[in-house]
Amino acid sequence: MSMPTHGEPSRTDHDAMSDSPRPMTTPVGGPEVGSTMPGVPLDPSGEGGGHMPAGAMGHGGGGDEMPRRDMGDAGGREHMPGGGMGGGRAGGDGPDDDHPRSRNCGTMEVHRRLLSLDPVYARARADIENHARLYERGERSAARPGVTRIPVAVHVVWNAAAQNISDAQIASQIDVLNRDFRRTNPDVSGTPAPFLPLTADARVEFALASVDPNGAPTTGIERRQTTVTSFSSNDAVKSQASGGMNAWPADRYLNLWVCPLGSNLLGYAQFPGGPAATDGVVILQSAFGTTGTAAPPFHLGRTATHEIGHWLNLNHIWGDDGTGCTGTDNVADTPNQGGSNTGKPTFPHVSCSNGPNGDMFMNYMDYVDDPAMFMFTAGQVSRMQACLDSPRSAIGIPATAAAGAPAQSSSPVVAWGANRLDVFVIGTDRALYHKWWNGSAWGPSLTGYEAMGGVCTSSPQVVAWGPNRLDVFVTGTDSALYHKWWNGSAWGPSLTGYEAMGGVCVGQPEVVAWGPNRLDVFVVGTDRALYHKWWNGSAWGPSLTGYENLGGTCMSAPRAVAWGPNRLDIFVVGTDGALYHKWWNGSAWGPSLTGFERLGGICVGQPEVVAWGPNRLDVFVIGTDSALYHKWWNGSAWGPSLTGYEAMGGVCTSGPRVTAWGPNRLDVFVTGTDSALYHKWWNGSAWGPSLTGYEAMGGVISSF
Amino acid sequence: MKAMNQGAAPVGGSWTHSFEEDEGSIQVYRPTGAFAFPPSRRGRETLVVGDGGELIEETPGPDDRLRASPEGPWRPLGMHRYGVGGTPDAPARELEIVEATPEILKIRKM
Repeated sequence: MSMPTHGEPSRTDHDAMSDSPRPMTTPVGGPEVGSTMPGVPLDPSGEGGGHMPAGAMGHGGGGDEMPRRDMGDAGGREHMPGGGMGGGRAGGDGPDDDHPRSRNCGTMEVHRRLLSLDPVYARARADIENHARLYERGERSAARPGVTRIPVAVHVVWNAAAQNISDAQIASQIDVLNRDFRRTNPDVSGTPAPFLPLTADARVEFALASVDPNGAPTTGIERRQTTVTSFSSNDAVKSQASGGMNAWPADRYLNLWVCPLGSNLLGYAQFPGGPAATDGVVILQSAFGTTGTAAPPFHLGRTATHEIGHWLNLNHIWGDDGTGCTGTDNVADTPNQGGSNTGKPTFPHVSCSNGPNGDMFMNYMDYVDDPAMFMFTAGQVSRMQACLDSPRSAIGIPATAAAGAPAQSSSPVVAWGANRLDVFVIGTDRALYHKWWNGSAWGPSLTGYEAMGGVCTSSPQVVAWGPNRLDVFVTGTDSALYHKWWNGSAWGPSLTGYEAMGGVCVGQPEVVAWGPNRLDVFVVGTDRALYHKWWNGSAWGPSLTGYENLGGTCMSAPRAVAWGPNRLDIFVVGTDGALYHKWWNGSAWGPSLTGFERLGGICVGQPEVVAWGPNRLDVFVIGTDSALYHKWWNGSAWGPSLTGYEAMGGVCTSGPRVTAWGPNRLDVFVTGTDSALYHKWWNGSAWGPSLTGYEAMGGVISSF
Repeated sequence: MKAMNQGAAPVGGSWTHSFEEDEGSIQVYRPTGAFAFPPSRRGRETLVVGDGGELIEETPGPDDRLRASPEGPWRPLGMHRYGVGGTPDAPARELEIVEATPEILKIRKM
């Protein structure tokens, strides 16, 4: 069904946008690509980094309460029937975890004896094991919906110069991990046919840390020369005092020590539940990565794959009972197996009456050579995900929030990592205020705000192009664009100062970051054309205060998303009320620099757009009947048609707010005529509660 | 096979499992510091015999880390058999020394 069209626009469709008057096209013969917007008081402060005009500064340091406290008051929440926003998130360990569970194999008796030496560790391990068992039994499923990307700190501890392995060797190891834990390693195809259907994507990725524990930029690699000629498995390598290097906080980083290792060891790990100071894995330098000092037959980076398997709570596949048949790896889809295998076994190798297919010796958790191991099973993946949900629940961020994945349009609220929120609001003095959730508490306090100065005439628009990085854009009383940023340790140009970026903007700016250190800003000028500027990592284009004219006559603020690196899709409403679209494909604007694709409809207010995956767009608008309408790009065509819309019912009194927390998942929020909040969702196969129905969420919403 | 003093520890020093040379149920150990063991993902068990004849066995654990378990003194049982263990960290068990020279130690775990 297409949207109601209460009177067709009299002009042809394209005229409404691309052929409308464009008073501010690039000056003829002008040397600049980008023109300055009309009436721009160029850089009113006279220099970059100036304060905003008429700024009500001097609210003192951070932590100020907002004037009159009219926004942060708890009273707002009390209006919400049913408690509104607070509740919900269960603490992880349910009553199931308290069930005593018997372990009845000999290996576990031995294990228990070892564990009895440290009752605290033993209790932690028991809790972790009971939690993992729920996943193994299918009584609980992974809470992380997509791929988790884990920041890695590599500590290179070397004695002889050759052991100081290169950055390239480290990068080669990260590459191996990103193949092995995503089942994209080419050799997985060598899995014997009976086992091939069991091979699984662990949905874990790894990236060298870009921010160190103090918030400063880092390569994720630190190095130390030591007088220790060879470390053992006594953890000396994990302490500065004993010739090694200290761990980075284990709740945020995977620690990976690379060193000379004696006792014929290739590596060793620490299971979850142990001390943070020694958490991580240790790898022999010549069994690390695929280049440099990596030596056959342990030259394919699989030692780290095996040890990180332990770090994510995987057991050896034979069950750690020597060569007996009673041990278990606590995973059902791996065959019972006698002892470990070494070298390059020939399929099948039968033990413990496990014929005809025998041992799964090609599993990463056996002891075979690097070229002979190439798979995890689905049961092992379930166990690793259980670990990420409970003992390692703080670590990593969804890969969809990381560089290279879809980046949504800017918002007053952003999350640059797991369990992190930054909220920006405008106070009654029209200054900018900020508060944040750091994973355990609200800063500067539960009801306090950090005063950030300025006199703002738009809602704050914020993006995070990387962990612990924020870029905030607002317009000032001169309608120019202003910018400030958090670099991980301080606000630039200062806590209350702003960088003046020129222009005379109508409505709020929109910002999108399609990759690290990249920003694209879109505003509407006084001629209602769309204007664009960008930060390329080193400079603003077309200039600090200049803008690229992208044409059109916009009757709404733009919405922008990036479904992949160097890809932009912009949506606006034209003078005929129809939705218009333009895109950057990495090399040129489509359909042209100043042209737009008409997507039909008669839209009220600003469109909303999200991308839940590469080459996927979902656009939501409100029609003249106040109902919600939806259209989508599936990678090859617009659905339900180029100018058609899916009618989703409702009588909406706000624009739609939509988020995608995982692939093929959408959550839509609007307010109704009763000023209550309403919700609907796409679960990957159907709309809930129904195509045109909404879940009533109560409340009396005054601003949304 | 050499005759051995049945009343004392049969061997001294540190011996590491050269499992590639195992012959059925007979395990082959080589001097820890003097033998070029090929690299292996499988950690190598090591037997360390102290000056007082007490035995410590290091075995790779479930996290690949070596774990030392004091096994107490060797207790001669005759016929080249010895009792070890019986400590809080190691169950009592018997070993048979099949061969012991400065270069090689062959044992059968009973």
